[in-house]
Amino acid sequence: MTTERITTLLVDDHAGLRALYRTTLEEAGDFDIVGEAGNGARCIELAAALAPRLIVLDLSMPGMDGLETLAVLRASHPSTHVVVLSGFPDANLAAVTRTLGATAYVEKGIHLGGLADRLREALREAPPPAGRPSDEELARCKDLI
Amino acid sequence: MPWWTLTAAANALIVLAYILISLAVFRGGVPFGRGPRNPLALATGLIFLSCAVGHGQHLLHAIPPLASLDPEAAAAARATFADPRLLAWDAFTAGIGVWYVLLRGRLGVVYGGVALCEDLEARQKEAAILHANVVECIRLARDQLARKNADRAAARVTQALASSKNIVTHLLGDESLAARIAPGDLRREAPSGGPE
Repeated sequence: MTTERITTLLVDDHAGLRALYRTTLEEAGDFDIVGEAGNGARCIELAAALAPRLIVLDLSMPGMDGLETLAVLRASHPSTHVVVLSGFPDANLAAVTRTLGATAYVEKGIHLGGLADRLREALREAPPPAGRPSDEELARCKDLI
Repeated sequence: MPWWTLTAAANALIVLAYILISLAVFRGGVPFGRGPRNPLALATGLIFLSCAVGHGQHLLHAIPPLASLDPEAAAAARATFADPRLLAWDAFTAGIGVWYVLLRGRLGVVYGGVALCEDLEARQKEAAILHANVVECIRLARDQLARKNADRAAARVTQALASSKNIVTHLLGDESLAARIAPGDLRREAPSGGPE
């Protein structure tokens, strides 16, 4: 029996954290880290080139932040799942990221040993990617933010 | 149409505008969870409410049904309302009242901002204490690592993370403020780990 590999793009402006996530997820066995990006613009380039199944996205980054990146990814790569991994407390911000198209919101404070399980769980429970946000969804998002 | 009816109409408009303004002022602090506890908002709202009641009393004396119950007071009120100078002034006041009502959307920011300034000093002190906790926890974690006690070090780091999360919450004000973060607001000047 073969397990389906989860091709993953890691996006975080802290190179040390990306290395930590890479090691943790590679050790988990079923994640293939296909690329890394340190900002939103590079993430969008790599998403187009590598078409990963999962993008693990930080929010606070130079150039283009995670919220901006999320909106672009949802429109340009609707079949890719995006899990936001951020240091901000999830109260309300999680709702904003979900409205912008994130599959799940994970706080950076979680124990790294649980990261792979949390990502798998997010993919398992996620509805099929919804594609481009509707005008109604964008309006709801504006209300939230 | 007698002059007094125009002045009465202007007073009715003033009463309506002042009530709407006082409600908007009271509501102004609510997004910051401070509504009536914000003394400036409370006092301003009460002044408008008091003025609304004052204008309302003058109006009620001049119009039915109170006018028919006390014809003498009604006649006196109507005679006062018939003064063109009073009509001019009340019409001007009604215009300002309506203008103020149209600007009410900005009240939340004004009174919420005042409440935040009053609260800032307390928040700064709380943030300083939380920061001291973070530093202390990290220092203890380093000591535990030096003694090769990884479990205790990890527990201290977890404690530091919890304190650090509280700092963010306190500096942002509250959860509703965090919810107002918009795309583009989280851009950093430089990568958090330094240049790659």
